Amino acid sequence: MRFTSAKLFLLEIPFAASFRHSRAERTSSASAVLRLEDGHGSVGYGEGLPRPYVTGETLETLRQAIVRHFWPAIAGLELPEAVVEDGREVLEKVSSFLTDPPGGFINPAARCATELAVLDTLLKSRGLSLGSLLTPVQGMVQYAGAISLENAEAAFRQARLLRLMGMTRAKVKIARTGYEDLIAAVRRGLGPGAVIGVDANGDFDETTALRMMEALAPLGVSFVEQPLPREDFSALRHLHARAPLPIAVDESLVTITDAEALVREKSCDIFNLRISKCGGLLRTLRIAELGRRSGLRLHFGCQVGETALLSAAGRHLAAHLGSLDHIEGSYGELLLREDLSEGNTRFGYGGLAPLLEGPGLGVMVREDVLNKYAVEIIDLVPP
Amino acid sequence: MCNPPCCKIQEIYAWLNLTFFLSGLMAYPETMSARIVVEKRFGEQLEGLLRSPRWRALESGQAGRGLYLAFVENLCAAHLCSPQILAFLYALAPPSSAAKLRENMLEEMGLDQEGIAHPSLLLDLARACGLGEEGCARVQKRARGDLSRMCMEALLLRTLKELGFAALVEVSAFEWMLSRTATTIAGFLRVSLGLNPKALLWFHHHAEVDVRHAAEALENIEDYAASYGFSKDEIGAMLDFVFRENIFIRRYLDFPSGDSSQP
Repeated sequence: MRFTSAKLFLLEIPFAASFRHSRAERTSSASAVLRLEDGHGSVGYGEGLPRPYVTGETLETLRQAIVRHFWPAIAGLELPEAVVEDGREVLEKVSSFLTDPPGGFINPAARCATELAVLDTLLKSRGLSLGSLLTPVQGMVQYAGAISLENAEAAFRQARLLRLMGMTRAKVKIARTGYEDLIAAVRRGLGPGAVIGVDANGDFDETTALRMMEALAPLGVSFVEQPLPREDFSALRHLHARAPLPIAVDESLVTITDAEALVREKSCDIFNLRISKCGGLLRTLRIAELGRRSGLRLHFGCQVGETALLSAAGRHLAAHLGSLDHIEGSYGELLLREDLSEGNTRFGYGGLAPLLEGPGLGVMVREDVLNKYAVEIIDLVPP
Repeated sequence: MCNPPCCKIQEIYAWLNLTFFLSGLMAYPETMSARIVVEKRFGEQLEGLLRSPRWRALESGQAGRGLYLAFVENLCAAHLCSPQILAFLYALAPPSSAAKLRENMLEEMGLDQEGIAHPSLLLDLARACGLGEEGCARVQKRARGDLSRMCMEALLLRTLKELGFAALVEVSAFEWMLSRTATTIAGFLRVSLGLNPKALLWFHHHAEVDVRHAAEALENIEDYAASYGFSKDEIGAMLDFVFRENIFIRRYLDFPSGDSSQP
């Protein structure tokens, strides 16, 4: 199988409501979808969402990485014929085509979009689901809610809305002030039995983070994600040694090298995995495996504003990994004004969502919606 | 000198300000009746619509023809399956409001004394705008597609009781909004697309009839909430669920971003 043409869509889909944390406020998505064709009628899609404050990647660097590096890397390739004998081998093979661009700058979202598009096309050409490569170990995936950084009253209303939808877990975005009131309000909205974690998005320093954790531990908070800035590994190690709550790493965990350093330094309790942030399925899987071997717990995050494509990939990987403590994503049109999928990939009551069994990622893309929200479409031809 | 639609909008703003002022005087949400809380949220949604740049462009006559046509398509798609939605609401209605919902449904279907099916008025409007049979088919497909998606999506709410409440609130919000804006909309469509009164008959019905329907709708919501035992907190959560975005803008003013006719 060879790819004969490709299109890169840079999308801006408005949100139903804005979403805010300590590093950014979003009112629309900024994502990229790569569409590949194999010349025999199979069309596949992959998605990536760059996050400048996490990886330094922007939509512009993503575009350059795909146009100049990833597309030329896959355009002339013959892809494997047999894809089901050993799913891991197929993932490894596809991943081996997608080496990082020279120069040391990583482009995880660009790589993720490319890897997913390749796999989607390949699997669709054979009528197979991604589940045939990533065998699921559970039949449903249960998602948690996310609460944007707001004042206490607005946070209470978001929490109450999650409770109405039967959700019993949520992660709350916090900043350096007002977090105790925020958690009390969320607890009131979600109910006494709910599991609440917080995400500081690196907004604290070692001293203020410890103070925050000591204040939140008695309020029944279950974990604190990314208390310190991404690069502050040494401070994270010190904080972890004294922290009264489990620490999850997100922005600090992008590459397998990050993961190894975090394990070696005993700097955290939980890895928060995100496919786009970590550079695609296989790289995320490797980080997850390292985490498990090292006795760490795993959370599975999403990109705010991701469409059904990235959510579907996340669903497959989450079902394959199994026993994840906290899973986010698949918000669909709860967050986006319109999603790309023909069918529904959003979770239902209780945050529950079934496995996706259709070919490829399991998403039928609505091309009209893809075109409707494209701010730029770049035609790619074989070099 | 101000043209009539603009004056109408100013009246609506004055009314909205009065409503918000009065609801503020009612002090704490806990002491408000469901009707006041719901009407306040309707008002906030309407205000959002009236302040949106696209509405202002339409209302002021500054939008291009393409935007008016896209608006008409959206409006038709939003309301074409109203009889089906009302039938669903009728099925769930408590005895105290079932008769009013039945009457509303029969009116929409053209099975009342007037005998005018409202979906056919919407298609007449689409034809008069020059959308043609192809455009009408597109609108019908969209409306059915929306209904189909609603049926196939995983439910976010626990029981039919909550789903019915959400649908009742949304339908009522549109009736309430139209009772205040239908004349304005008909006015700017008449001027900008050169439509005759016959083509705009749907708006006449929704301006005249929905004043009554809008008042009844608020009673229906109170009846429904009381009959199915919603607490005030649950009502608040349900309203946050329905109005997690501006439903009027979503239904009426969501156009492709590449539309060059946009302001």
